[in-house]
Amino acid sequence: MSDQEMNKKMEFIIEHQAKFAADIEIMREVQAADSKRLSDGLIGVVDIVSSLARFQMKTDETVNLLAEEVGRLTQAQAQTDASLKILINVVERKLDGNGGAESSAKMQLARVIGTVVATVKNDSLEGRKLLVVQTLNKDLKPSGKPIVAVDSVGAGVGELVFWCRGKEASFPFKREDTPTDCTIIGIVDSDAHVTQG
Amino acid sequence: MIIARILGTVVSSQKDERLLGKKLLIVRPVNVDGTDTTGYVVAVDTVGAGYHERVLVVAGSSARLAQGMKDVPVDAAIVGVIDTVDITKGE
Repeated sequence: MSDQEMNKKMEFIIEHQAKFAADIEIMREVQAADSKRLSDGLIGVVDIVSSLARFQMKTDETVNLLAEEVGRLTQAQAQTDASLKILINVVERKLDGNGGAESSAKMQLARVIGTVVATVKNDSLEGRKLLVVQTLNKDLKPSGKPIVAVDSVGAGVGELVFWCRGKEASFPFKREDTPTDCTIIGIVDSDAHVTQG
Repeated sequence: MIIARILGTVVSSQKDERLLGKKLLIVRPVNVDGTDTTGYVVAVDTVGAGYHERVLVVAGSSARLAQGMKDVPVDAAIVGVIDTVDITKGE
């Protein structure tokens, strides 16, 4: 190989080397740009993650608030239920209580439906007959709950009677001495004798 | 008068002196078939009734007419212990 050829080869090699160097420089630049993008991207991801975490915390807070709110609502509901129950009881007692809607009347009709036996009783009730009476409305249909009445006229089971309540119930007896708030004071001859004008 | 079931007792040390020595009981009105109703009444016992017995309760001013209850500030008194309640069906 002549010197000339040798020189030519050397030049070629140097030229290629320079080209390689330039290529490597370009690649380095590209890599730098890539890694910058990557780090930028990473920062972005971190930002997103942290804001997600913040959102999560906010959601947790909201959920807690909601739970508290629900608890309060449940309490309020229970209170309302209790009040409603009391109200219903009162209304039921008013509507359904002894004598029903007509309980304000001092004297009304009732059907004797049974007897009560009480051996041990207050001495002032000694010898008194106790009967269970079912209060009736004006159509002689049962209304209200049955109550216990003292008999002052000798009524029997199945008979239609009239009775009075309150302090006046003790008047047929020794009035200061007979503890009764409900007394049968008369027997209606028959159902047919009850007429309405 | 109503039929009631004794639920429990009430202890009260500070009370009107006319109530001294009187036993106070909590009673719940019952239906004639023995089932419970709602509510309760504090009644003075005049007969020596015991826990869970069915009793006869007189309410209002008539409660004061029971023997031993004269001028006692009471509006419900137990005046009898019920042995039986007979209801005739088919009215």
